[in-house]
Amino acid sequence: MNQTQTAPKTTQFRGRIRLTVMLTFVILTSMPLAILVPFILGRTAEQAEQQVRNQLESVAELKSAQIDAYLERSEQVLTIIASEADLRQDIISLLSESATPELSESLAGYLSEKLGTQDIFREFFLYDTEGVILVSTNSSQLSKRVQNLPYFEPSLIESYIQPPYYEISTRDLNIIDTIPIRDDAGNVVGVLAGRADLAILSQIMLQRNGLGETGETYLVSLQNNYLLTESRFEGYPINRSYQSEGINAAVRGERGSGRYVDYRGTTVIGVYRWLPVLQSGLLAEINEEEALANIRSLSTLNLILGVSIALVAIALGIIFARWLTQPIIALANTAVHFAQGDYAQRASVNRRNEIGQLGEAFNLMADAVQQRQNELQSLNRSLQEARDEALAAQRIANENSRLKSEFLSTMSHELRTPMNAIEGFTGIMLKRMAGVDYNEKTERYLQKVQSNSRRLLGLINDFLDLSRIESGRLELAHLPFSPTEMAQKWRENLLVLADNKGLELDVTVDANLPETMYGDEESISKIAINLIGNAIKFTEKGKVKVQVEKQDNKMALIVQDTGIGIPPHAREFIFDEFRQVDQSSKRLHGGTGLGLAIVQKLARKMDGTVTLQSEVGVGSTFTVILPIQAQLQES
Amino acid sequence: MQPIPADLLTGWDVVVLDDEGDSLEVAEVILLEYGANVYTATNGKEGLDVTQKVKPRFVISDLSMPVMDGWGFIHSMKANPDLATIPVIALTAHAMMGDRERAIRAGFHNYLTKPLTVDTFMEDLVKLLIDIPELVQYLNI
Repeated sequence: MNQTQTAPKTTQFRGRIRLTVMLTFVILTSMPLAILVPFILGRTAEQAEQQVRNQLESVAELKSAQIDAYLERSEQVLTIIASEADLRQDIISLLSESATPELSESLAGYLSEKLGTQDIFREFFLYDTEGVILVSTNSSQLSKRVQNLPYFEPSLIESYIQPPYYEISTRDLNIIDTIPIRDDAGNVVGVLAGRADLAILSQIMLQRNGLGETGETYLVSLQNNYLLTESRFEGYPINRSYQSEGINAAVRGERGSGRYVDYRGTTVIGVYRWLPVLQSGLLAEINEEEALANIRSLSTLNLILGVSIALVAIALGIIFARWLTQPIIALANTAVHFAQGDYAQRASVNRRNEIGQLGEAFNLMADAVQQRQNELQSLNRSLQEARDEALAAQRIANENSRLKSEFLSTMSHELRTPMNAIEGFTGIMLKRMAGVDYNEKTERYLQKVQSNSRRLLGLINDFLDLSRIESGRLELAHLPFSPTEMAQKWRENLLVLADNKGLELDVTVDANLPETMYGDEESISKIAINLIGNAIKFTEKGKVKVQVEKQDNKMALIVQDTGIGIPPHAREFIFDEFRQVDQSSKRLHGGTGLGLAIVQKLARKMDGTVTLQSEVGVGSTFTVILPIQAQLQES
Repeated sequence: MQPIPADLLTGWDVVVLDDEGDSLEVAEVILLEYGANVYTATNGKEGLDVTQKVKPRFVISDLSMPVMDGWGFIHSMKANPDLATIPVIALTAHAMMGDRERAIRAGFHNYLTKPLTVDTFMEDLVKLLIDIPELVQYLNI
């Protein structure tokens, strides 16, 4: 594992956990803010609006009271004038038949004098029960008739205030106060009237204390929704018809407040009420924009505050995430380096929390791993040394084996060479070749030389074969051969021996065996010839029966004789080297005692088995089972 | 097998190679007994010279020899077009398993092991010679 493979893993790890922690932190801190701020702002806005309405209500109340006071005073002024005895007498006189122009002028002069003592009325006038103006402080009004005007009939009954109305003849807006004049009998003989100056109402309305930059109060007449007092805004003259939710409600006689679009098309907060005496609506309004300016700035402030808190939360989140993840990342990096084989790496987590505990736990683990690693390394070194030693030993063993093999080869050659001369010249002499001649005794001795040389040769051959098998130098061939031909060769080789002893040699090959098999024919033959040779050697009469069979995909070689048999106690050791049933039999039967050892070792080498069944005096059966399954399948 | 007639190899030229004088003599005596003209050499180099000169019907050669051993000899024989067709039979005291295969792979016609026995030597030899079509016609059987 190298650095480039593991590095990105750590980075990914860092990004995820940091982001998660940071986002969690930000969400947790911002969520209450996000929920509470609009709620508080809404509540605050509501309260602020209510406050504005209350303020407007107070203003409207004040204006209403001022108007009432004004009207009351106007009534008082007129009553005082009317109640003066001289004036009443004069009016009665004037209304009688004996009226003189002088009296009229005198009354006019008197009323004019009174006009100057007050600021409510701008004209006093006197009319009779027919509605003819008899006296007026405004001479142009003399002889005019008022019987068609709205206040005429109520004025004949009691004191009456004519609400403002637009008089087409004068193109003027008027409030008329009237008071009936009665004679001594109490009959109404005429009416004293005062034309009020509407400018005073305007003055009252235009006092804008507590109304801010855009607040205003104004009166609207029931008659055509005429504006009675001046608007504070330009372009909206009086004596024109105007509509708005507040105006309509007020002239319907309702009292209330609300947020609506006023006559200018501007959204306002307004209160409205009906003034029955004036037959007018009183409205106090202020632009919503101004009224709620504070709350607007409050919400802006809140927004800035919220964003600031969110930013602080993010910053704190980053710092917190870093604080939280730094030791984890450091630990992860340490672990990665550790995993890459730097076992000296230790985590440096100086936190008094679970992460610190994790670091300590890691370090404990690292200590254990390092210690184990060291042990492993030293163990490894020991193993390495042991392996080196073993390899050296094996080299020596190989060398020894090679030397042994060479020795065997040389030995074989060196032993056979003199044997060749002995055998050869003995044979030449016995055949009387090359003109050799000798007597009968010489021939008998030569035969003894030959038989002993052959025994020596057999011993040498067996000994060399066994040495070669035991030294592991024997390599089995894997070549095709015909079992039938192989068995035929055995018979040819051993028939003479059997014939010499007058024994029957019966060799049969199972027809179920494949025609061609694979294996080491030479080794198989060596086993067979040894067994058959032994059988002939230890059988005095009867026959030796050899069978080659197929048994469950194995080849069985069965050699059966009618010989002396092998007693049970001997069956354990007859496969050992140089062992025969007893020493005397060796002398009797000859042989080296190596044959069965060779048979068993060769059979084992071929993963086969040798079994023995025997009965003393009846005979012995040797069975060799050799696996030839692979060979059978191949063939 | 029928007895081998004494004039089996009469008129045959045979070359025998062996560094061991006694072994060489045993083979020579037996071959002479059956009528062959025997030429001997004590190593592969001499053997090549003799063979080149005599052009024998076949050659019997030991394997372990000084100067040039049997392996070098067979190699040179097979490399020479004049000599490549002459059968060479190995006769050796190397009786280890696997030696036969190695010898046949190297170009020997066949392989006989020492010690040779007078009784069977000629029988074995005849069996080998019968397998050689060029020589069968000359066998006096």
